[in-house]
Amino acid sequence: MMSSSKSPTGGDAAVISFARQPSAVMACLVVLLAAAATLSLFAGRYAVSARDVVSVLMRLARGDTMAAMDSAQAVLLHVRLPRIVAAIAIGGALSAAGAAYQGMFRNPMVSPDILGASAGACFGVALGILLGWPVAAVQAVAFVCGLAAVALTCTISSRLSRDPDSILVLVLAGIVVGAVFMSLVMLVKSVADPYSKLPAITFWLMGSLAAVTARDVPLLAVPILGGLVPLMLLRWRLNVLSLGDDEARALGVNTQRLRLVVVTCSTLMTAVTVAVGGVVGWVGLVIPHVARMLVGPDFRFLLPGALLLGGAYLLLVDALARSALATEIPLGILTSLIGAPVFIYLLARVKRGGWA
Amino acid sequence: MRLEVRHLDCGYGTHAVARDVSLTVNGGEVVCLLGPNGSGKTTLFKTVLGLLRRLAGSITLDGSETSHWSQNRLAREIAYVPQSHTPLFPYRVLDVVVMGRAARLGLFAAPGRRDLELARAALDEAGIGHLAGRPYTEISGGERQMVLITRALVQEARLLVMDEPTSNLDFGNQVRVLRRMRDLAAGGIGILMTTHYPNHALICADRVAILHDGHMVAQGAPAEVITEQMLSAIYRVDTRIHRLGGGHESPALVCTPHLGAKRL
Repeated sequence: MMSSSKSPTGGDAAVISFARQPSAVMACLVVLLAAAATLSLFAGRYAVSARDVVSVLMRLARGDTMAAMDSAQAVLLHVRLPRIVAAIAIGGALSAAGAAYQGMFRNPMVSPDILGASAGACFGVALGILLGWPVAAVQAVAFVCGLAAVALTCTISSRLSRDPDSILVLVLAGIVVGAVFMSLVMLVKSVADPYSKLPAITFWLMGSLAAVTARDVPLLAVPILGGLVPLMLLRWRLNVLSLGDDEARALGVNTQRLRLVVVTCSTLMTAVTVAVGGVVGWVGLVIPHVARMLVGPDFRFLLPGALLLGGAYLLLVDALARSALATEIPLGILTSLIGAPVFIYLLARVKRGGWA
Repeated sequence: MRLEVRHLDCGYGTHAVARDVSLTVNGGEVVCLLGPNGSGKTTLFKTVLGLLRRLAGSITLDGSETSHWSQNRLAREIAYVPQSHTPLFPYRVLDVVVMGRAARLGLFAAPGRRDLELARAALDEAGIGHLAGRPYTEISGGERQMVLITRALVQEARLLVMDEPTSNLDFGNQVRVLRRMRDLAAGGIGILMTTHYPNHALICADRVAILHDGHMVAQGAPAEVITEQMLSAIYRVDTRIHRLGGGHESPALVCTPHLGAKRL
């Protein structure tokens, strides 16, 4: 009945691509992730055969991982498989956290890196390495520092700007808080032992999965699931939250409680990835946008979509990192080199349309 | 349904923007709030919706005090129709409408088939069923306003609070939105709205309340409240009210500003 609709069917031609079949796109993403994982089994300096892969998978299925095996099988079981799980977990967690942050802050420019969560977690981990703490304690400190950084960013932003949805002020506050925490990391580095601790911190800061072992897998997976499960359960409410505080409350949503849960879960996931894999930048900013293009903005599809796409993306980048050159390229360097131009491309798209 | 606002003080923090406001809205009634920018209309709305803490006074719905109601319970009774806006992300129209179900779904639930059917039926009833699959960001302002009204209906609230539903719309869409509001009131829903157009209040409202500098200065039937003196006093422009011969219908009133006179 309204002015711009030409005919009852006129609208259908304008239905944009994602609206067609988000579930079909999701199925494609599952296939992509499986293909990336398979490819990763074979990528790397040490050549393995398909027979080695099958035999290792059979051993895993039987629960028989202790018996003697040849070196190709050992590489698969103790190096590549844990690394594949870690890449999926870290890529998926950063992307899901980024999507949740973007919806909650109604701000397409935010990500775990930009809000200061990564920098805060970095400081926690650097401190943990300096003091020689066990992994679980390092993760806990990373989480607390990450949460403190995000809280600081939000507080500064709300004090400086009357408009709670101001994109610019929130991003600037995040940059300031990130810079402060990164200089604290420098401080830790400056007092670290230059022969043992300093190289460890420096190499870990570049972002890498090279040191991931089977022992790290539960330490990574359990806290990530702890953050992911609540987000997945609440994901339809994230749609309502992204309308803005007043509107969401008038629709009956307890926004204060929901925001607290979403910030805590997203920051937990981010902090854990930093503790295990170091700084893997740009994933949490870029992948949610690409996922939104593919499956649309509805969090019922966007959150699992970002998870799958982020996992597949980091698998492929990690495979590239360990096979492109004779020595391994740190993962964080590659994700920045790829992420920055992709983000410029996304910005150019946004100039023409919306944050589709 | 009967919303009663009694001696309400509302504002931000401890600073009162509106004082001693009393107002009643019954089911089946359109009550129109007029007042210049900054008169406290939005503050009053936010307080009624439970988005701002009241400073003094009472708000009751069917006799029960709403101050201790959860946001969820309030949303089941009172729906908010914001000004036609563009959200950040391009949700489909159907997905925007079904968000009206949030107050009636469990914390971890997503809308099911019944909710979607309800949303589709409401869109059809509003005559915009063909928009269901379109991105909300790509439809016109008039269509967006109709979508937001539809969302409020899917919320199954008994009172709609509408913030300038006719602003930013072209002439035809203004009339369509006003007609839709009359239809909804005829179905028993209470409507509390603001407008910047006195003529819309004259056409559409059962009662008019005038808020000026945070005080309720007049309240009553549109023809009694919207007078040349009142409009001149609150908007500080010279205005004439004309009575149109209406045949067998009751005579209609229209107001026109008078550009020739100097500002009062």
